[in-house]
Amino acid sequence: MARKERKYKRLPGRPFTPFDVRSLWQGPDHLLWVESVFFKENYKRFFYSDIQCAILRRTDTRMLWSFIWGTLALICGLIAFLVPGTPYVSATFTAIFLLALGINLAWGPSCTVYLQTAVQVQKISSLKRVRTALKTMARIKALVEAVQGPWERQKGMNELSAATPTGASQAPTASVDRSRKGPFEPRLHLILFGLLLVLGTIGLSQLKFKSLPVGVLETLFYSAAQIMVIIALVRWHRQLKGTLIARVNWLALFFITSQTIIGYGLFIAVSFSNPQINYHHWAMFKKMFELQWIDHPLALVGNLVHAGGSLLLGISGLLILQRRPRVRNHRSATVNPDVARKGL
Amino acid sequence: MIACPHCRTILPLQIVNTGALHRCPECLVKVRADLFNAFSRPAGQAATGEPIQVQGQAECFYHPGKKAVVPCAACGRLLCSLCEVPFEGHSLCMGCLQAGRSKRRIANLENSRFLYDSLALYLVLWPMLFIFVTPITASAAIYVVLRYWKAPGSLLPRTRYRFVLAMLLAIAQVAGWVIFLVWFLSR
Repeated sequence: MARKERKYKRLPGRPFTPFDVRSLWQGPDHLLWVESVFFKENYKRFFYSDIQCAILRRTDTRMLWSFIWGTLALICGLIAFLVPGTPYVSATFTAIFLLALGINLAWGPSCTVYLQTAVQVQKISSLKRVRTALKTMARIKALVEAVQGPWERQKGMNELSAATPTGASQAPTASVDRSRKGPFEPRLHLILFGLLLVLGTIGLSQLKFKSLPVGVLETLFYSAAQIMVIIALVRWHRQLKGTLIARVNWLALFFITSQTIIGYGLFIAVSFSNPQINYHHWAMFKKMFELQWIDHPLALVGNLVHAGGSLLLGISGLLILQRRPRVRNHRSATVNPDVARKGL
Repeated sequence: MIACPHCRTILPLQIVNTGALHRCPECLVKVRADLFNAFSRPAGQAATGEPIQVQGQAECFYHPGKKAVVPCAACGRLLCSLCEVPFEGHSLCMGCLQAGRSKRRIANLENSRFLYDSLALYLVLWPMLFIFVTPITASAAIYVVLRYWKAPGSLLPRTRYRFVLAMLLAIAQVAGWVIFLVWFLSR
């Protein structure tokens, strides 16, 4: 049976991801979701008569990328000012990162969109920003209502109210995880971000003073931060899954781990260049401290990244903890007070 | 009920189909839900096929003893209400539906396609990073272009410029190698 290929119109959205291209297309009687990976295209069709719901959810991706671009711009800007011989290169990178930050902010708030049918919930990953997503959702709504008819609010509400079982979702997805261990307490994260703030401050002061006792204190705080970041991550993993504070926590883990690896590299360098002091820990520590503060642009950059990164992570974490909305003001009758997650 | 896609909490009815963003009562993330009539549409009873009541009545090809209600639009076999598959305004049997899918006769059943034009373009572009494999990959690209020029491409609107570009680049690469070899051998 011969079939003429249909014509499709592309719906708004940003299709590119690191490994594939994803887009949503409007067809005569269905939406076509296309995922292109190298030489192959995969299709999913959502017929207008089958679409039950379109859901948009705000995310914190924009904030995360603003933090990343802002941090990189700040570090490159500091390098441009403080490190001699690198003004043009650093200034160029600063400008690039500032441009990326500006574009990220101009694109507006970030979101994810889902299309629900009777058998699946599909995430439309080409819709990443609220402005584009709302335009696309309006078009989808018009197309669907042209086939299904407009939703009559009163009749629909009555039908939904009468639907059983209550408290259960009709969406065919994983069941609700109710095994959370009590509401989130920010104490561990406050300690962690406080430590990072202190580390950043010490790091900046060491740029000027280079004091060995302060260096010892810094090492102790650093060891404490290494332990706290893992405890905080593991202890509140379930409650904070997918939240911004969890992402900052992971960033802090990545940052501290990379600093640890660099520190270990320093230790190896000192061991090989001074084999006679390998068993004298205090002498090794002093040598490592001297190596850290040698008059070299690379050492200055490294110290700036360490101090600046700690400071920014600490400040960001504390700000996020401070701005989280209180559950009491937004609680509805359906909220279980024992499992409140406070919009982190 | 509509659930928040983040924390799976049932959303209150008051925030559904308002066109605005509202906070989920559990995770406090802003959501907007547009609900359509298909959500509350009843599932409906599946047809079972009526048994034959009168001697000589047409019976289903796949269920002898059940009354045939419609012929298959593709193969003409008589089908009962259980076997009938309504699809794009026609009634098909399962065999024709599966054949339409596997032999790519029904576009709406295809869930993937191989893009030979993209393959040809990749074969000429990426190996340019490694230079010495280009004689082989350029030849492969020419073969792909000639062999699959008329093969069905993407379901989406797409011109053949990738094929043309791949062919031109492949010919240029092959010509370049020929010139290089002639120069090298005549030195």
